[in-house]
This record gives sequence, structure tokens and C-alpha cells, in this order.
Amino acid sequence: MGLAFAVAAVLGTGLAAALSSRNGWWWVLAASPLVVLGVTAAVELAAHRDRYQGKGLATGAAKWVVHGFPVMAEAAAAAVIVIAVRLVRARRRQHG
Amino acid sequence: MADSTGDDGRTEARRPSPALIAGRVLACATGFAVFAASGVVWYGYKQLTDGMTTSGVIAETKKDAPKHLDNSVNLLLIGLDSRKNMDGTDLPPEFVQDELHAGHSSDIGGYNTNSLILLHIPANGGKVQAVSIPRDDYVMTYGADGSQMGMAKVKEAYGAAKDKADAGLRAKGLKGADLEKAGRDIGRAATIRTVQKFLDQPIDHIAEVNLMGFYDIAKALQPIEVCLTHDTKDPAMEGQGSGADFHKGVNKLNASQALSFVRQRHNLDGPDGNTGDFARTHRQQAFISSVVHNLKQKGVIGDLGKMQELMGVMQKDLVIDNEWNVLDFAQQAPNLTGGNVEFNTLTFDGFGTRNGQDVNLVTPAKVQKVVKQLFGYADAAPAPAPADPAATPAPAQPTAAPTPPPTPSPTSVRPVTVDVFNASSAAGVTSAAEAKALAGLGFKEGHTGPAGTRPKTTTVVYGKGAKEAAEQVAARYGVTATESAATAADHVVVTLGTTFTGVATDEPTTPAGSTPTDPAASLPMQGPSVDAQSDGGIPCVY
Repeated sequence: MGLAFAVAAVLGTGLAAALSSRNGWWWVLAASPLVVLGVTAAVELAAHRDRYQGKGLATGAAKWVVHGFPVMAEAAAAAVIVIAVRLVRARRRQHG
Repeated sequence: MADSTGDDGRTEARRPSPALIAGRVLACATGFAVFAASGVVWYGYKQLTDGMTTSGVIAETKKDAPKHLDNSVNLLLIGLDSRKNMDGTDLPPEFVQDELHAGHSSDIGGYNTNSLILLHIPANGGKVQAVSIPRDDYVMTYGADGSQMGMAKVKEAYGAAKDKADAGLRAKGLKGADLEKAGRDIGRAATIRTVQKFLDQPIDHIAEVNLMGFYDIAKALQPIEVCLTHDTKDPAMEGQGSGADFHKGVNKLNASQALSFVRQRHNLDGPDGNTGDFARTHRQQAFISSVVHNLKQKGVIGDLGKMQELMGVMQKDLVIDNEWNVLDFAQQAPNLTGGNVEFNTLTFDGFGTRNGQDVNLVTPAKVQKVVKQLFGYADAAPAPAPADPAATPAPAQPTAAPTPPPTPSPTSVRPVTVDVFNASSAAGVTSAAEAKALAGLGFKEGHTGPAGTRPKTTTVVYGKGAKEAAEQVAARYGVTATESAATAADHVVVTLGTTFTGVATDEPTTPAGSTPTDPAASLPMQGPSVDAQSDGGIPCVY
């Protein structure tokens, strides 16, 4: 996963925020951490199922969360920036 | 919230349905909860690991380390007999004398690695094997750069390399704490290289603690229960005695007593060579077992908060390598934290005197063979490999199965699939059972079934990228693996020969009634082994 996953998550979330309606922003922001964690878990489980048996699953989950959080934060930050830009532009159009 | 506005500023006077609102609330709450919980865990982890003192030497020493035969992890615990702080300053003399019972001078002990324990964590779970290297073993020592420093006691490699590098480091302008740090890194690298060469085992991680660090950790965990088989006393006198004064049975130790417990070497005259320095290694082994038991009892293992508290104490004096990832390690070593560990002390050829000092004379090849067998690897002796371990005809005789070379723990470094085909008609031999046995060793289970050919001896062929794994598989059958263009990449094909009757070291195929497998049981070791799970997690030692 690593860097490619982080870049894809940031770009994907930013793009979703740019293309969605105001109603959609809720879903983008809310879904971003879930998607990051879900994809991490699914890929890891598919690739290394044997590692995540019993206690290994708890340790593995902690690992996904620790590695996943910075990606979640970056993706959420990307979405917030895009939303802020869209709001500013919309306000300018209203007032201009 | 009732209205929504498009990018063009148009107001859509449409009230969202209650279901939509509920959905939004649920999604937001879930998303936020996941985000917040992840943040808390991440923060806890960073707090846990960021302040640790790490050493970067492991990357260098790995470069010319002996090759790993599988995905197991070797961890070297280094107990440094230094009475100094991490920055090289002396500990207060009264503290050294009264609390550490280690004389009154910080110069005593120098930088001897008085405790060296190599922990081998198998690739696929199973019992962790740990060996203590007697500190006076007379071996070839190596410097941080891998050059020979000459024959010396194994404990002296650290200090000798540090001393040797001192002038050069000073010439580079290093002084104070920086000089001490650089010097210790050189000492660590020398110790790692010396142990790697001596045991012919790669070292993946290190954890180093000095007297002060040990005291601090013990203080954080006290009282620590240990168990002795005899009453014992060892009055502290000018850095020689440990101050031990314990009774037979369970003793509850404070930090100062804990140090005495692991340092005592006088008045220890156990049976089977379990005396002095050697008995002390068993004390150290028992102490580690008791600490793990203690941590489990107190619920520290698995509790990030409590772990953080302990790490806070350890950050001051414990040094680990910079490649040590706590979470990866926790995943690799559930047996270690679970206490499924057996400790042994390496034996030696005899006592001798070298350079006016009493030493343990050792033959590295013998030691390496013992360690390999203990860790579950094939015998490295360059004896010609038999055509097939089961080649000796043993039709219906109820005698024990012929013993093949000891089985390695052949987990491939890369995921390699092993197909097994059976040409043997021996009772109990099936391709499926053999495939399962190989899967149990870490390989991916592939196709199974009857063999298309009927080779007399077992054959192992492999495709591209599977050479290493194939060699491990071949070692199991005592044959040589051959490459074949007809075999798929990352695949190994095993054809069980007509003479194959089973691998004697497989537990499932071990004849009923045989004794449970204990790799150390038949190996020469110094004194008794210490099983961390014996005596309720507090092993009794001499």
C-alpha cells in the first residue's frame, strides 16, 4: 500500500469533494476514514490471511489503524480544503 | 440544514427526508468515531515509540550476516555491565554501592556484555528458543566494520571496539554524550558481528540494557516474584558480591534485590555444571520469565496505556535498534509475550587460561551445530546428503522410522506454493498430509494427488523465484532441489518417492507413544533448561 495508497486516497477524496453536491460533502467526509480503513483491512486480509488469526487479528488491526490514520487525516484534509475553496468561490460569485 | 445550496448559490427549497437525515447522522457519527479512535491509537503508538533510544547499527551488521533460512526473527538481548549513564557520565558512587550492589566505582565492569541472550522466534509460532552465551566464551571477536579484533572473551568485544574507536571519534570532533553514543554504537555493532559469526545466526534486532536501566525497569515492575531451589547468600564486597540474600521458594524482589538476583555468581554450586557464571545465566533466564509473567498478570501486555507507562521508564536506559517496529514485533512474537519460551545455556569444551585470564574454551562449529538444531534447522555438518532419508528399506518392521536430517523451519521468504504428488505406498503417507505438513511450515498449499512418475527417491523441483524455498523443502527430505523450466514461477513440486515412509521429525507422523519433541532434550547444554511456563510462570532455579 504505502505511498501510492496515500496519494490515491488523497486524490480520490479531493476529487469526490470537488465533484459532489453540498449534500454529498457529508458523505465524502464521513466515508473517507471508513474507506481508508476498509481498503487497508481488505487488502491485508486478502494478502496475508494467515497472519491475522486469533490474537494476530487484534495486533493486525492496531497496525492498520496506526498506519491508516495519517492517510485518513490527509484525505480528510484534502476534502476540507476542496470544500473550503468551493465555498469561497461560491460566495464570491454570489457577491460579485 | 433544511435547505441545500448548489454551487451557483441557488437555494433548493427541498426538505431532506428523515431517513436521509438519519443516514447522514449515522454515517457522520461512524466516520468520526473511526477517525477519532484511529487518532487516539495512532497518538498512543507515537507516544510509545517516539522517545525510545534507538541504534542504527543493525542495518550495517545485517549486510554480512549469515543468511536467514526462513522468516523467523532473532533478537539479541545485551546486558551491559556498565555503571555509567547513557551520556557516559558516572552514576553516583553511593547509588552504585547501595542500590546496585556493584562496588563503589563507575569504572568497575567497563563495557562488558555480561549477559548475552539470543531469542529465536520461529516463523510460524511455536516455542521461542533462547540461548544464553556464557560471557567468558573465548571466541574470535570482530569490530564494528567486520574486521577481526582477535581472540577474546565474547563479553569483551563491545568495550574493545569502543576503546579502539575512541581516538578516531574524538578526532572527528565528537565529545561528551555524542562521543559516548557513537562509541556505544560501535560496541553494539562489534557485539552483534561477534555473536553472528560465533553462532552463525543472523541478528535481526537488539535490545540493550545497562545496570541502571535494569534497575529502573525492575523498579517500575516491582515486586517481582522469582523462585529458588535453595537458600543462598552472596554478601556485597567491593564490587565482587551481589548482595544476594534469598530463601528457598518464592521470593518477592524489589529493584535492588532483582539486580542481586541476576548478578549473583558466587556461592552458586548447582549440579550438572550449573555453577557460578552458568548458574547466573539461568537466574537471568528465570528473571525474564518472571517479568513476562508479571507483565501478563498486571495486564500490561495488550494494554497500550500501561505499556506506554512502562516504556516511559524504559526510554531512559533501554536501547533498541531503529528497525524494531513494536506492532510488527507484537505480531511476530505472540509466543514470546505469552511466555512460551525455553531458555538454555550454551556449553563449552573446557576451562582454559588465555592471556592470564580464565576462559571457556569453545569450538564454534560445535556450538553452531547445536544452535542450529535447537532452532530447528537442518544439521549444517557437511556430511554427504543421503539419497532419501527413508531409502533404507523398512517394510513392515515396527521399528522407529529412520531419522532424516533435522528438519528446518522452511518458511519461504516469499510466498511459494508447494505441490505434492505421491508415489509412495507406505502406510500413512499421503500427498495431502505431506502438503499439510509443509503448509504448517509456512508454505502455500498447492495441488496434491498421485504422482505421474514413480521415482525411487523423493524429488524436489522448482520454478523461477523459488530456489530458496525449494532448498528448504529439499532439506526436509535430505535431497537436492533442481530447477525446472516446466515448473511455474514461485512453485515447488515435491514428488514423494516410492521409498518415502515419512519424515521422522514431523509430530503428526511421530509414532504414538514417543516422547514429546523438545529440541534441546538431546542437545548438550550447560545446566538445566528454563521453561518460562514451568512452575506457573515463575520457574524455580538454583
